[in-house]
Amino acid sequence: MFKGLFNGYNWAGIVSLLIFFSVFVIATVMVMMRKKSDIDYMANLPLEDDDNPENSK
Amino acid sequence: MAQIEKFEYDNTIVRNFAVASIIFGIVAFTVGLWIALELVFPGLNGGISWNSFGRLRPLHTNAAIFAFVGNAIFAGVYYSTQRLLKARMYSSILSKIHFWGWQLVIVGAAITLPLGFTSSHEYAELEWPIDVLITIAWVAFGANMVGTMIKRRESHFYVAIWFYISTFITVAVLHLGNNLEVPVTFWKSYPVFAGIQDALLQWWYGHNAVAFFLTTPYLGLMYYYLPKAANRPVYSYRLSIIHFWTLIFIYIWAGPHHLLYSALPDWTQSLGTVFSVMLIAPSWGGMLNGLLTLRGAWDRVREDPILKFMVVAVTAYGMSTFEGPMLSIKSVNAIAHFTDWIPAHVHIGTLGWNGFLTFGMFYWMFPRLFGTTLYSKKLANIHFWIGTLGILFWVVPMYFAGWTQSLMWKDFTPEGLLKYGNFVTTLQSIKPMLALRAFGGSLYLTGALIGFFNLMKTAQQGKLIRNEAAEAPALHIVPEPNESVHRKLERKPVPLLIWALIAILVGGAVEFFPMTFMKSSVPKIESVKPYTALELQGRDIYIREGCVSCHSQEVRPFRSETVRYGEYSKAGEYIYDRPFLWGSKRTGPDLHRVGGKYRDSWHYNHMLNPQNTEKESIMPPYPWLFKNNLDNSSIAAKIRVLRKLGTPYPAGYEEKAPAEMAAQADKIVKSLASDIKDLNPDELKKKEIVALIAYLQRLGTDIKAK
Ligand code: HEC
Repeated sequence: MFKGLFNGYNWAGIVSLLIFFSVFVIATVMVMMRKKSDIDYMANLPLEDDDNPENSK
Repeated sequence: MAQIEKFEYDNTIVRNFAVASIIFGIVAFTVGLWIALELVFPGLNGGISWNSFGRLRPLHTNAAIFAFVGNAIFAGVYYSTQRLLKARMYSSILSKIHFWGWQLVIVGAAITLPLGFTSSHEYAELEWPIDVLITIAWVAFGANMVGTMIKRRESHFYVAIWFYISTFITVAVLHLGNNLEVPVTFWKSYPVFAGIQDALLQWWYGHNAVAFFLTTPYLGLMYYYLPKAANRPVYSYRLSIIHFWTLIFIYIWAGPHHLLYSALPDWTQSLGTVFSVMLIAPSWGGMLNGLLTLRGAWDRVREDPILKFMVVAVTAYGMSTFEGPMLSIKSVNAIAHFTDWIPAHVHIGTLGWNGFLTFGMFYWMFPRLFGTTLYSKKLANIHFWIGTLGILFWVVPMYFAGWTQSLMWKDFTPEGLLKYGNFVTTLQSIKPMLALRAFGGSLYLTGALIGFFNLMKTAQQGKLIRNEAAEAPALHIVPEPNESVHRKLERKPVPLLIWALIAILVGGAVEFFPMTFMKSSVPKIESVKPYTALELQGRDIYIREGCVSCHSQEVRPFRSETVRYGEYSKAGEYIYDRPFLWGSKRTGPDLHRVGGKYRDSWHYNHMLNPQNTEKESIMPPYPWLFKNNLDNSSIAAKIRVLRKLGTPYPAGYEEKAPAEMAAQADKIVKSLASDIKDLNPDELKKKEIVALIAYLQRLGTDIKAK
């Protein structure tokens, strides 16, 4: 049953390209829908505690 | 506003992992240098079993991956997770179990691998009792992470945390998947799958060990420590999210690119190629995101050794993620596979990406852990330059060696004969490159020693801040109206975990299920029979000695290979191979068709000292196989386990095995005695070498016309 499916044409290439493309599009759309303020808030999370000893001197 | 809570970060656990990482890093580099030297001066192994290349190579790779990089990941993750979530690690006991469990695994590896206890699955060589221990330590790590996420004070998870979590979950799946094995004795097991299925499972694991142990956690670290060191937020946070989802989704599919032109079905190979090529997009997105974080700060890069280390690390990430997809294209792979090009590729990744990010991170972290400044910026700069030179001296000669040797393997004379019919001629031409590589390794090691000294001095001049005081408002989540799905996801640990799990499972399942459950994926060959008991014993010696680290058993369907080695390998020939032994590197010739190529006595002399038969050989001698008696105590158990797994040994074969083994050994000893003078047949037939010869002479003969 699967034989004809797996041989013949490069279904693996086509399907995988489609999958990648959809994941990429979904991720991009989700990210683009975010507010800039949210994004800036997230991006600054690592910098909140400024624990650089050289700064505190 | 929620009320401000006071708490303390646990720095002791961070320090412990960091110190373990550096010390084991030095061990890993030293063993690496040592085995590189053994290839240049084969006499170095001194005929000592545990000192031979095949046994030490897995020690080197495991030490580098799990001891050096592993401990560095945990140090980096424990430090950043606490600060990103504004909470102490969930449980100090779990931290301790994790730490000591992991170090116990490493010590176990350091003892068992040189003794030859190995499953022979690359980067998963450790035998089952240690696998169990790994599971315990890993679960402690995961529980500690999830616990910390739950009792956090920051409502949202920074992208680094996602990378950590996907690492935890994926490595757990990989570890369990690739170690599906049935124990025979305490230190010996057979894998559940055989032949091409075992190969596919192994490289699904092997590739994703690179992806989810050497890459995703390091990307998490990059997204935390690079902004920290540069003191500015990441270039594009949006890009980092796209990077995350596309990367973890695609990575998992790419494993079969390790098996191009093998007996694996074509569609699996195509899948591997296509996904590997696509990987370049998220990888480069991530690399650019890292480098662009430093836009406008390049003047600081020139001064700050920490940023220098990080820039080279991220650049190395870019290089290896460009090279990886290229190597997955079949025509490039045909040249590069099995050559020194692959170790070069790997070392750009480990020495450059993992190593340099680790050093950068520790130079940044140590002064903070110990409340002081870095002992010597100058030494850190020296470390940087020696390390960079070390990487260059490592990889450039190996690229050159890979190309040279591959082209020689494929070169034909106008008459249509192999131009370099003798394998050793091609080996001869790359020997200077092997020496240069060892030099590069010694530079890198020197740099690491300087780094170790510098960090220890830093620790000494300060005092460990075991519990670092911090404060933050208690967690107080106010869902906003019209909140997007993803924003919700960002503060829910368990759904995030589950989505990441789904993303990584889809790829594995699509590749693996058809392969395992479709009978037709392995065309049966009538003449292929199970190994005899003696051959099985010989095979297990082959596994124990790590011959697989220098020899492939996979003749690809190229004219240059079929002329050199014989008929190309078929999937149906491997159905009784537990584990598969295709190998990944041809330091010596392929052995899949070596059966019947030489007389028994040739193997006898060759194994005793390869330079007897081939003056320029760099294969180690195996004198102990001539002294040790073959241990047959577990042969019945082996046969029973294999039968249970599907090898059609007839009922009662385990009772007949000893007599059959003796008869087969007698025959080999007789043929040896007729060629070699002064043998003691009665002693000799008990020795391990006889079983090994039986196995070598069987290899690839099942489909030969007799
Ligand atoms: C350090 C790498 C290395 C390791 C480990 C190694 N070999 Fe070799 N082997 C070579 C090289 C190089 C050659 C080619 C030169 C020669 O014939 O010795 C070779 C050749 C051979 C050949 C002859 C192949 C032919 O077609 O001429 C056999 C058989 C062989 N090895 C078996 C083994 C076995 C069995 C083990 C494990 C017990 C082993 N080798 C471990 C490097 C290695």
